[in-house]
Amino acid sequence: MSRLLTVTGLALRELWISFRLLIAVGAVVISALPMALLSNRPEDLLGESWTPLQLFAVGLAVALSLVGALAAAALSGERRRGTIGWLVSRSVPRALVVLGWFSAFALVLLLGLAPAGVLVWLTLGTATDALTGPASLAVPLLACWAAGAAAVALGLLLGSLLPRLPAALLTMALAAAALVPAAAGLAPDLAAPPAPAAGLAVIGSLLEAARPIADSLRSAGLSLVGAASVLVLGAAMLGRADL
Amino acid sequence: MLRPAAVVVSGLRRSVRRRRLLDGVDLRVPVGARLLLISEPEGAGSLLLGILAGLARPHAGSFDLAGLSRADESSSGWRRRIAYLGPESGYYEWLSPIEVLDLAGRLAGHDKSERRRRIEAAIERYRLGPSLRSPVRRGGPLLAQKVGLAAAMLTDPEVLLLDDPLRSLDPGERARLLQIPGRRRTVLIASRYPASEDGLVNQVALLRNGRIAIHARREELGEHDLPLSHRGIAALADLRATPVPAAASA
Repeated sequence: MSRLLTVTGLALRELWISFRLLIAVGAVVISALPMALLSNRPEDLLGESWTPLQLFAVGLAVALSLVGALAAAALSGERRRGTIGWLVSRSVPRALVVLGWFSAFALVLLLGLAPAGVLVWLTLGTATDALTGPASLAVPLLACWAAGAAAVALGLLLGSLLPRLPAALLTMALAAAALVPAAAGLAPDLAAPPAPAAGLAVIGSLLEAARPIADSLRSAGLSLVGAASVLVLGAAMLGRADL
Repeated sequence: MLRPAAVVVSGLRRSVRRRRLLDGVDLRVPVGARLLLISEPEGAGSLLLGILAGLARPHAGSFDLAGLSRADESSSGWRRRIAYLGPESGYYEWLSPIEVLDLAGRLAGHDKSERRRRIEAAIERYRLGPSLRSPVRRGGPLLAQKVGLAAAMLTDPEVLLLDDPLRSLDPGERARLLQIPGRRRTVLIASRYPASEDGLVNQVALLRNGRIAIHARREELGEHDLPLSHRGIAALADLRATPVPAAASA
């Protein structure tokens, strides 16, 4: 356990020093800004079919994909720089390195989602009366965090296999293809619970959603199971790699 | 009587990009030996050390280091008994020298007081200078490599694997630091510049076409008036491979 904390701490410091922590947190927080800025009449800018929450959901989907891409670039870069090799030569298991980086990015996502959630809640103002309480927003955000964690796990898998740029681009493309259409309401199949993107779809239609908490919990569960499966695969792939 | 072996490699095979760099390597290095390993092609020696350090996987074969066949997580296990230093420092260079050494000690499982004692000794031995609390990268590659060696030696390993180490240092300082103390410590050095290892090794080995072509005492080179160089070691291998004529052997 102490070695997992050590690796996670190193990963967080590396993200902080390289400004990637700021980029990841900032991307998630910024996804809530257009909603705050356009909350009065987004339809003037975007058309009648768009709601402020939908705008947030799409922005968040893009931000989560970006964080997945950052995770891919991070692990691939660590592999090439030899920092993973330095740890492995000190008997730190490769799976623990993957888990450490996953934990670091999962924390970064939380750091971004917390202020974004507060911003959205404040922007909704009296509209929150239609909700049963803060949990109606917090639980869908938790589902979004789980979807982001799955994107990070995908990034770590591809980062253990590919060079930095291809790994980042492929992660971004795959995660965005799964999350953005669902958040925009363009792909009902991808948005149906318990699909990982269902949390984003719930956020997009939060004020009209019939069962936001239950649907989000189902989505979060499937996302976390998916993330765990992909992480196991990523650890196995890193186990075969030369460091 | 056979001396106990610190490194036993049997039938190790490994290809890289369809090129077989290790093709059934057998090597037995006794406890306390200082072995210079050179290779044709050059990358094969680094690959062998990488496999021994757990950085690369062999396709076949097995090896034991310090009597351990696989990573042993016990308190006296692998992480304390084996150390590896590559041509690059490997650790995060935004860490300060103190942090690198402390991290190495923590990963080895040493408690706080033991870490402090070992770190103080390492700072003195490796002359890590006044900038102990500023990032290693500010000290340049010279400091980075010294800190890397100090971190590798922090756990007092039984087997030390050095892959073309400390190339940024001037030859005198490099030779001083590579005079690794400990009569029972076994050191394997893969080097592209064998002459620079003179005085540091007492055995030489040539890895040629994926196999150990020769593993000999350092003195054997002198006995045949051969220099400690790639060409000298290759010539010794050729001499050994040449069958002795019947008349001469009689």
